Amino acid sequence: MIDRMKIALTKGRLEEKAIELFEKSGISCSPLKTETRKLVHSLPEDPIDVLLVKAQDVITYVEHGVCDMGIVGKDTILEYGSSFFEVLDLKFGKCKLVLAAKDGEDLYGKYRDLRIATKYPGVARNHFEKKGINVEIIKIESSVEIAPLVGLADAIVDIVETGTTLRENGLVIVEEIANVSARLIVNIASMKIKRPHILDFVSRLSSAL
Amino acid sequence: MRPYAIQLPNGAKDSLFSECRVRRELESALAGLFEQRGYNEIIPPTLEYYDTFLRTGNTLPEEEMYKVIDRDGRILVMRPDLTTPIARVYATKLKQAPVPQRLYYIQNIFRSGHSLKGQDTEITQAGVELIGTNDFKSDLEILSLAVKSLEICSLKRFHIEIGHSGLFRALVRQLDCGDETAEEIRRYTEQKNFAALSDLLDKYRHMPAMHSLTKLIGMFGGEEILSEARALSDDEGSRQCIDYLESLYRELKLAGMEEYIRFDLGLVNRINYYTGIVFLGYAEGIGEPVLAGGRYDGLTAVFGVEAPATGFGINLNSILKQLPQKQVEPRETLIHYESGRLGDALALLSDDSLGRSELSPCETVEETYRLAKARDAKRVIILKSSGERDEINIDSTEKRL
Repeated sequence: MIDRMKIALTKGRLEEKAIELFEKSGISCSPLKTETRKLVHSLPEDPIDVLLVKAQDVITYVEHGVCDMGIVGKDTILEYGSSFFEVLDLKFGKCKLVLAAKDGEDLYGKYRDLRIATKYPGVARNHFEKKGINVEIIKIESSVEIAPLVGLADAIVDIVETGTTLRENGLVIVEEIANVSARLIVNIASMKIKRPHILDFVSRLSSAL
Repeated sequence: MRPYAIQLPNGAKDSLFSECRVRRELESALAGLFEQRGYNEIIPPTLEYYDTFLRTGNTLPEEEMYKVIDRDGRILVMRPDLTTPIARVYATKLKQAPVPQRLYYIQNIFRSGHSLKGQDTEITQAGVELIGTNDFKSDLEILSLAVKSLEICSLKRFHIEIGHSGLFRALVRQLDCGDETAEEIRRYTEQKNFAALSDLLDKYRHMPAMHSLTKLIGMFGGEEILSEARALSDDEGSRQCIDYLESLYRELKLAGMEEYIRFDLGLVNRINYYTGIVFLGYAEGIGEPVLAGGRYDGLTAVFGVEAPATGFGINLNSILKQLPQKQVEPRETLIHYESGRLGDALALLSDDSLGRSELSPCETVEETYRLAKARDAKRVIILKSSGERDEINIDSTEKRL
């Protein structure tokens, strides 16, 4: 009997792109393309079950080994990731993690700790730790760009795709922190226990990239 | 009510009845095996100085250790690992003892995990250390003990993957790239991050070791990996490592263990800590390694005594989650005793022919009978003050009424 593999996809845009890539690699995803509320789908031709979850949960499921693999953005990996294999850069969902502030703001000329608003407190802390600068981090869940405008923070750390939102809110990129794209991650034990199936899946995806 | 009065902290858990029994059985099976192979038990204290755990090359992040301040203001930690205390014990109490020393432990370690990530904060570890020898035979002994230990854990399918820390070091040394880059290469290799590694190594394109390193990351599997690895590099250092692994495999195979042995030459976690072979054990259905070990010849030196060492630890928590739970059977016999018969009643408790039995706390025989029925017991034994003994068998048809 062939072991079934479970793969967790990040719901939304990464999910669509991932399905596109799967189909290109010859993995039929018909059940995923019909409008439905179902969150677990068994693929018809391959021994694969697909789970649709939020980005951060992809990591949790893969780390616990309840999913063998996951597709998740590098931003989420940098923020939450710890122990799994990161085997493929899938080259879609590309954007950048940046530090941004109001145009004309003299960020490093202040004689006090900077306040940084972000959805990525871990990424922000690491970035400033490397620079040797103390900052106070405020966790914001959405539309982080507002924070500097209303004076809650001096700058933000966030993902930027085209830069339109930043521009329209009078913010500019101060520093680029990391390049982001979707990654295929694999549970450490699954890689070893289901080696042939996983390596086969990885090579199918990578040849379709 | 105070908010934390009945909750457990995240990652803490209670074990009840059958779970305890499965755990104790596993612990005593492992202890029996370790004793049989010549290992002696050590029980170090739960609390030790923080400084002790900063000594080793394997320091955990500060926030993962539980800390306690003693009455003199010194920092203690609840031990986050057992290898460090064992090394300390060796260096302070066993340095004069004849080598090799074979030591084992079955104790809990404490890790303050990330909140709400479902990680246990108290983990039972069973492990062994073979201290004082650095030859081929001690690695062989430890590996075969690792196989046997997982075998008696009754796991479905398991195997042990062996790597060699010297191989990665030999290849990186040829790159001559500086510590920081070496660490980056190590990290990407550990994460099997093929893309990032080949990007990073691109600038060393002209060096043969670069090609070996990019291949190393994918080199895990059966013994065929070793012959593939042979083609990697003609450098003396890496060849010795592969020869060594091959000799280990040959002996383990002759001893009938080949189905449990695989290789992962990209196994480079904690490479600065290990000095020879490294290995991890995996089992079907468990999402993390269940066993980790290797050779760490610098282990006791941090406590002032040089002695080579090799060993492994098994994470019993992850294994226990996977084992089937046994039902705790009801007590078969209730013993009802009247005044003056306590001594006889207690003696009956140890009479195996009655099955597992317990004393009845009831005043009257009728109450004891009702209790026995409610408990699914098979019989009631009555010890009267007059010295008489009665026995009531509880009919299984009647029990259903």
